This record gives sequence, structure tokens and C-alpha cells, in this order.
Amino acid sequence: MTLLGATLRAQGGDSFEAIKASARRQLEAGKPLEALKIATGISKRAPDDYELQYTVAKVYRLSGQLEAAEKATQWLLDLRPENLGGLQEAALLREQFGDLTGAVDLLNMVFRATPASKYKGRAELLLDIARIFDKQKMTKEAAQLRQEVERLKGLEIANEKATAAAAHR
Amino acid sequence: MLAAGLAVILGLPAVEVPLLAANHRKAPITALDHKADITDFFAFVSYNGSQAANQRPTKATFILCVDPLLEPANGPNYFPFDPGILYEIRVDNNHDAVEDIRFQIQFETEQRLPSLFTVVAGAGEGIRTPANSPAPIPPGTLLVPPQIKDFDSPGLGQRQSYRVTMIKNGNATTFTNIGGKPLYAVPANAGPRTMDYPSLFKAGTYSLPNGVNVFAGTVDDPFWIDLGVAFDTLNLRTLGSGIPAVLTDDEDKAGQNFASDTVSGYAVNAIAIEVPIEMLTSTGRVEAANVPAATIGAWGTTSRPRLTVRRSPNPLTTAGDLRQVQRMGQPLFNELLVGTGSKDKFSMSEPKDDAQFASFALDPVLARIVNAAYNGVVAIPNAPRVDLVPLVTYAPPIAAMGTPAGPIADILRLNTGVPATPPAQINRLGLIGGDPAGYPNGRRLQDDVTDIALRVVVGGVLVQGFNRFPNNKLGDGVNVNDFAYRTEFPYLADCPSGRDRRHVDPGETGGGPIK
Repeated sequence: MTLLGATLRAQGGDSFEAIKASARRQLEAGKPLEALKIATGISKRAPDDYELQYTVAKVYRLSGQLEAAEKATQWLLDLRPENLGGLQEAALLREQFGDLTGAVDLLNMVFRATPASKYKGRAELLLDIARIFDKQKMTKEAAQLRQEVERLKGLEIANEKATAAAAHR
Repeated sequence: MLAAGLAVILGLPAVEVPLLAANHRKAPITALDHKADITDFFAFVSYNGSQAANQRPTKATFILCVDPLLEPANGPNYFPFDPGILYEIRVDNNHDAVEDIRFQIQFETEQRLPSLFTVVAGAGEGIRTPANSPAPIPPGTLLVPPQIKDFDSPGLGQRQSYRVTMIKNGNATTFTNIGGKPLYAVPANAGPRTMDYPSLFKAGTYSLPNGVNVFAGTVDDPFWIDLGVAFDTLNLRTLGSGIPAVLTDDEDKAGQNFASDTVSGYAVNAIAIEVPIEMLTSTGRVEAANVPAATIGAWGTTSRPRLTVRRSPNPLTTAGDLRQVQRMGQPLFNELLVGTGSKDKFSMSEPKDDAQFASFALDPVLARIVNAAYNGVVAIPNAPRVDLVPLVTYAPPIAAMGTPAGPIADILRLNTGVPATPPAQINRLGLIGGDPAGYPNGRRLQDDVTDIALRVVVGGVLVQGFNRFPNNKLGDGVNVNDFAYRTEFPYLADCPSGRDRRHVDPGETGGGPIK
């Protein structure tokens, strides 16, 4: 297969985007090693693809391969310094490395850049921060965050209902 | 409400960084970071207008151009160098594709007229308010400052200065101006009322102690190319030969354009540095061309501060931790050979590791497209294209026999022992045109790297049997720049006036046909 042929390969089930999506699905299904195998297999074709590298970094972290996770996450930060996924991964690695203040710094940056309407994403970030606050014995602040998480969950449910109702109108 | 105020309530640090709302970006990194985008890199043995043939080389010039396609009429507010970028010119002098010398350039910006709507203003001897000037400004008040003629002119609201530092053998040497005065960057040319751009250009060309000359500023983009045809899937124009992308003998020899120079009328930010050759070679001498040490490699880079996963326990030790945004050695390598999915990785990698990208060069898609698009009229050599290897290693005819080849690396190789060609005798086709001081032996402003790349990479003229018509007449029809270059350092042409700039388009005089 020539380079040109590979480039122009039909966009079917073996297309780059389709394979990438399958890696994401494996990750969401709780199969990180399967996701990693797919992602690293096709990353040679497009090392610049942010989403793919994010999957790789996340899987490494979740599977406890911290050295590889750090390398992959650093690549993400170098590739797109402002990308939220990379910053979040870096924060969670900092937590693992014991740099709790540094982790909260990054999570705070990601939180403030996440649109207010993304209730679920913001709630997840606040839970991450609350967990770190617990480690820092900042229990009062952690409780405040969890209170806000409950409010966001309520908004998320209301939003889902409103969206469903609008779809059936 | 509570969420919005949480950061304040909980005392979270207010670290301000620009963030992308989306987390999925596929575009090459410099499409998102124009200021760090390197457009061109040049390296050549210096020459002058009265240059004699075979004159012994003494100095070499490097030019790094960044921030593409600056529309002069849209400036000058938006065209500064970025103080957040470290601009570097790197030199390898022992053939291992690792830099032995770095020239680092960093800028600072002053805003001297923060209340004015534009960063430059000026006219003649200045403009005073008329008799009917409304209060509170009384008649006769100097409202518009005099035309800007130097870097102290009051109308130069945005003023940039820069530092040049050489890192060699682990030692840093800052090149200071005579008397310790700042080095200023020449601003974009707003127009003839506002500024005397040529005077600023002259004032911004510095001769420093130890024989080093430097320049930084917004200038005419020295590159020329029919860019539109390249990115319309190589839809090259049909000129006199009747065959797309193929020039007639007369067109090939002419010092004029038969197609549109897409870059005409645009500006670019350029950094130029001229240094004694003794400062560059590993022996500390000007070597003859047949000595391996005469050949050096060079490339340009842009880098920005890096956010790291691990914070240093001592913040001071993190100073200087940078991420490389882009690099350029050979022209058009990343742009026309490397696949879109790998362009950022290429930009962020080091030349010594370029073997990982060799497949792009050994079977260039570019050549296959031209071969297919014109139904086989242009025959191309079989892959792997080992004929291109001399372009990415230290090898004759650029380097002397016996020079270590070094790793495959996209760097611009320059034999500093080859005398410069007198300006009037420069052949735009460089080495393949019989001009030993031209690309790919370094790269001069006059080298038509588009036509050379078409003939070498697509036409395969270095392969036996391929140096024939039409392969050796491939060209885009753009043979020269729209502005004349200077014949002495920094060689670059004046920035087009924002008021009067002209882009030469297809279908108009000098722009070639729309077909």
C-alpha cells in the first residue's frame, strides 16, 4: 500500500476516525487495555491527533503506568498547552505524585474554562477538587464543593428532561 | 452563582492562562499560533553589490522569517514579535545534526502612547489643531506628532527592543549594541505620511562589536510562490508550453513572473544575523570548500514556555523550560512532504531524530499527485527515492568528500568555503542551475525553491535518465520576488506600505492567466 493509497483509503469501517471512535468506546466500556491497544496502534498514523493521545494518556494513568502516563500527558501539554483534557490529566497525575496544591491549580483552571452549562463536567471537576481538599484536611471547603455538586446534578437532570421534552415537541 | 464564586470563596489561585473551550483540535499547531509560525529560513555566505566572483568568504547570514501573510494595510498594531517566544537560529558544526551554537533572540514591547487608537502616528512636521478646535484642546496644540524617522520619534507608540545571545560551548554571550543602546525592531510600514520606513530600516540595521550584524523587523515577505495552485491539489497553471506546470525555455530563463506571486504585497517578521564564519566552524577558521569542517548545518526554531506535569520543588530551576513550537531547515519539507497527522510532531522534534519521518521523503505523495494529475506526462522515479538522501545528510556536492554524513535530518547545509556568487550572476535554480552558492547549498533569498523542489522532488532530475524535458522544466511560473532585495545585509526588501501595497493576482498584469 503506497502512502497515497493509505491517505486516500475509503472512509469506511477502517477509517482513522472510526478506529479512533472504537478506542473511545472501549475506554468508556471500562476496557482500558483494549482501548490502549487500538489507540497506540493507529497513533503512528497521526501522532498529532489530540483526542487519540488523550485516550492513551488516560489509559496509562488508569492502569497505573504512571511513567508512561506522564510522558503521554506532557506530550499533550506540549502539543496543545491550553487543552482541557491534557490539563485535567496533568492535575490527576500531580495528585498521584503528591503535589496536591499543583493539582488543584490545574483543576481550577480547567473548571473556570468549562462552560457553566456543562453541569456534569463541572461536577466531576469539583468532586476531584473535593477529594484533594479531603487529603489536605480542608474538610469544610470540600463539603462546600460537594454541596455545589449536588446542585449541578439537579441542573443536569432538569436539563436532560427539558432536552427530551423539546425533542418530542 | 455559587459555582461562579467558588474559586473566590475557597481561595483558589487565580492563575490566568488562555484556554481553548474545545478539547479537540486537529489543525497543525502553528495554524493556531501564527506568531510562532516559521515561514522561511535562509542561510548563505554573505555578499555585497560589488562582490567579485571567487571572493574569499568571510561572513555568513541567517534569516528567520515568522508570522506569515501579514497584510500591511491591517497593521501595524497587530504585527509585533511575540515577547513570549524564544526565537532561535541553531548551528551544527560537527555533522551530528545537534546544535553546537544557538543564537537566541527575545523581544520586549513598550507602549508609549497607550491612549492612542493606533500604535504609530505621524505626519510631516506634525499637525496642530485648527482655529475651530473644540475645547478643551486649544487651537495650535500639536495633535499629531511629526513623521516617524527614528526609534525615538514620539509617534512610535509601540516600540520593540530585543536581545541577541549566542550560546556556544555552554557559555552565553550577549551581543550588545555600541554604547549599550537598545536594539530596536523595525515596525510595519503604515504608510508614507506616518513614517519614513527606509530611514527606520537603516536605523534598525545594527553593526555590533565583534563583526556581528543584526536586524529585526517587519519587511516584505522575501518568498515568492503561486501558493494557490499548490493547495488546489497542485492545479498548476498552463503557460507557454501548453503543458501544466511546465515552462518553456524562455519562461525558464526569464527574470519575470508568468503566474501570480501569492505572497506579493504581504509582509513578514524577519530576524537576520550576520556573523564571521570563524564564529561558526568547529575549527574557528574559514575553511576551504574541500575541507569537511567548512560545511555547517542550520535551522530555525520558535519555542514558548512550557507547562509541565511535574512542578519543580524549586521554581527557579524551571526557568528556561520550553516547548518547541516549530522548526525549519529545508524549505517546504514539513509543508509539502510531511503528512498532516504528523506535522506537529515534526515541528516539535529534533532534526537528529528525523529518520522517523524518512518515509515521507522516500516516497513523496507530492510527486505521485503530479504524476497522476497530468496523466503520466511527468514520469517520476520509483520509490524509495534514495536520490533525495543527499538533501538530508552531509554529502557531496554540498559537503566535501569525506564529511561524515550524520543522521538523516532536515537541516539546511551550507558549505561556508564556497564563495558567494555576485548578485547579478545569481541563478534562481541554485545548484541544479550551475550556481554552486545556491540552494541546496544553503539558501539565498533569490533561490527559487519551489521550482527546484518541483524538479528534484517531483521530476527526479538527480536520478539518471530523469534530467530531461519536461521534468527539468517544471515550475510554477513565479521566478522572482515582487520587490528587489538589498545587495547588502540584511538583504531583505522594505515592508510594503500599508496605504499603497499591491497584491498581484491571477488575470492581471504580471499575475499570469486564470487557467
